[in-house]
This record gives sequence, C-alpha cells and structure tokens, in this order.
Amino acid sequence: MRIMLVDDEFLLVQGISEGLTDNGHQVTQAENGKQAYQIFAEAPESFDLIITDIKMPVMDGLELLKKVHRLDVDMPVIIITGHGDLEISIEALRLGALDFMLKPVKMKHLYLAIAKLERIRRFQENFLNVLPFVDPVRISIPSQMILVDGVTSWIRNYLHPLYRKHGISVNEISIVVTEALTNAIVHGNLEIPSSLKEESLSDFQDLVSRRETEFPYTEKKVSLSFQISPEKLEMKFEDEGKGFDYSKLPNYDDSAAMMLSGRGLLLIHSFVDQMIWNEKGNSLKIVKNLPKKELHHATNEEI
Amino acid sequence: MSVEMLDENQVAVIYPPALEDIHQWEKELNRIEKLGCRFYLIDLSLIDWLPSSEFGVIMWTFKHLEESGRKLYLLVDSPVLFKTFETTSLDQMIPIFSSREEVLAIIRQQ
Repeated sequence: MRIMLVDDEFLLVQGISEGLTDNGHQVTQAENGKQAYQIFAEAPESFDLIITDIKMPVMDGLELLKKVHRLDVDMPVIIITGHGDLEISIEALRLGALDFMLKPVKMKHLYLAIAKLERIRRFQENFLNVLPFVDPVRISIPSQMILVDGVTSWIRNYLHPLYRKHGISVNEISIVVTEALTNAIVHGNLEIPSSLKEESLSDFQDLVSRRETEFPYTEKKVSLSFQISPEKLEMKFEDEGKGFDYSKLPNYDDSAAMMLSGRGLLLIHSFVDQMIWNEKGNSLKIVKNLPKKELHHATNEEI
Repeated sequence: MSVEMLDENQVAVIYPPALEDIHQWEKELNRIEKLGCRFYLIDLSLIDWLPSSEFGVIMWTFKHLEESGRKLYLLVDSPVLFKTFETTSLDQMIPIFSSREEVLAIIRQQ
C-alpha cells in the first residue's frame, strides 16, 4: 500500500514507518498537515491511506482530514490521538476518518486496518479488470427531472473505482451526466427553449413540471448508455425530441454567450475530451480519455 | 433549509439543501428579507458540485437581491465547484470566498 504518514514527532514516525516498510508498504512522510496536503493534492490517486497525528503545528490532523476529503471523499484516513482526546477522535470519525488509534500505536491494530483496506482495494481492482468485457450499460428513463439525480448517483457509484486508477473525478462525471440528461429531457423531449429560462425562471420551471405529465411528452424516453475501455469512457445520451442545429451553438470559448443558451453544454465541454452530436442533434456522444497516471514520489524537499 | 442570522439580522448565512425549486427558494428569501437582512451568504462549503440548474437559481438570486440593494456572497471550498463557477464566469459576477472568516470580515467592513 502507498501510505502517507504525517506527524511532527520524529521517533514515532520512524517507528511506524519502519514497521510499514518492512511489510512491503511504500511510505511517504510529512511533518505536518500542510506539507502532507501539498504532497497529496499533487496526486491524490497516488495514495491508498493516510495516517496522521491530530496535534501538529501549521495544519492539524482534523484540518488535513477535511481538506483531503475535499479532493477524494473516500480516501481512508486513520487518526492518531493521545489519551484524553476522545472528543477530537469523535469529531474525526464524524468528519469521515476510517479509524483512530491511541498513542503509543500498536502496530497490530494498524496492520488489521490495512489488511481490511487491502481487501477493499483488491475488490475495486477486480471490478475494473472486468469492465472491458462488459457490454454497454444502458439506462432508459421517462422525461422526468426527478429521475436525473438518481441516474447520476447510480453512475457515480458505478464509476467510482475509476478514480483510484485514472484520477477521474466522480464529481466532474456527475456534472456531465446531470447536464446531458437535463438537456435531453428539458430541451429535447419536453421541447422547452433555454431562452424561457432567461425570461422567467419560475415560468420555465412550471412549464417543465407541467409537460412532464402531459401527453405526448410522457411517451418520450431519454436513454444513456456507457462503456469503459482501458483507454476511454464513452457515454451516449439520446432523446426522442426534434433535435437541434448544434452548429448554431456559440463558441465554447465565449462563456458569456454560452451562459445564455448552453450553460450545461459549457460545463460538459469543460470536463470531457470530445462531444459528438448526431446529424439530427438529439444524440450526444461524450468521450473522456482515461490517462494512466504516473505515481507521485515525494522528493526530499517535499519531505 | 437552515439559516443562521448574524450581526442583529444584518447577515444571513444560508445552508441550502438544494437550490432547485425557485418558488420554494423565493419564499425562503422573502422570509429572511422580512428580518431586515442586507447581506446573504450561501454556504456551499460542504457541497462538492452543483448542476447548472442550480447555477440558474443562484444567478436569479443575485439579480433579485441586487435590485433592492442587497448583496449575495458565496462560500465555496470544492475545487470542482470552483472550476464550474470559473467556467460559467459566475465568479466574475458574484463574490466567492473559501473562508467564512474572510467573507464575514469583508461584509462587516460595509
């Protein structure tokens, strides 16, 4: 495992580090939360676990925990606390810490926690190994905005292991899915122009709600299919609307114009590598390349 | 929706669960407005990302408050959310901060 060990107590760091290295783990050391965060932020996918002391100068363990989870909400963090720090330990668990350990750290407790994590990691790796052999996954929903969040959550959970391997942000994917589905439902199937939104947001929302329950809009479906290969993630969004002339879209570099008639598309464009429309304009294929990231090794200066 | 009133109701810190339903949101704003609030801070510090529909509501809120001389500020911590505000240029329209202390200090200077 690739472990970041954060503590300003040299002897404690050395002791834990030796134990972990002897067991085949790669250990990156940092003296305080700020230094640890700088190293982590550069390549979050390069670490499998963070073990951090609570009380440190510059940035403490709780602050580090919060900032790390901003970048990777699932990054396991084990907190090391002294006796009498029960309230801080509870706060750390509330903030999403995996576990807390009292000083002096008993290595067997650490090894147990690491073994559990390794099982989870292996499961995620195995999941990714199968993906190239999975047929395109297809979801087809009626034109109801209430279903967009559900589909986004479903895709988000499904694709989450990609983050570990490729550094693909599930938050960015969530935005892409939400925006593409929203476009397909609102502008595609429900045939509501974005200009109405600029005139009156409440009229726009009322019309969306009304058409969601009116024939013939109730008959129209939006489908999303996606497939993952080792090189790329492809997603295709199709609606049953009349389509549109996508050549008339403003230039994506003109954010002011895009804000008026394509804010969602502008966001999609900023997070993917390719957007390909069919001729009719009611099918959008999105391609996100999956880079194989180089692992980050902290330099002596960083440590 | 939770709202924290500060500085004798001059500042409202709003913790929105979602900014989707414009009617519900307008009702909440009217309720706060009756308390005499001048500054509105929407705390998105625990939100990782927002769809563009919610950006629309934020833009509407900004214009709605500006018309009556009130001010809107946003508290944002997520890098993805920052990027979406930059991409849509909303960061040039609405003051965005990552520190609650910093934005409150700026509000209190006014």
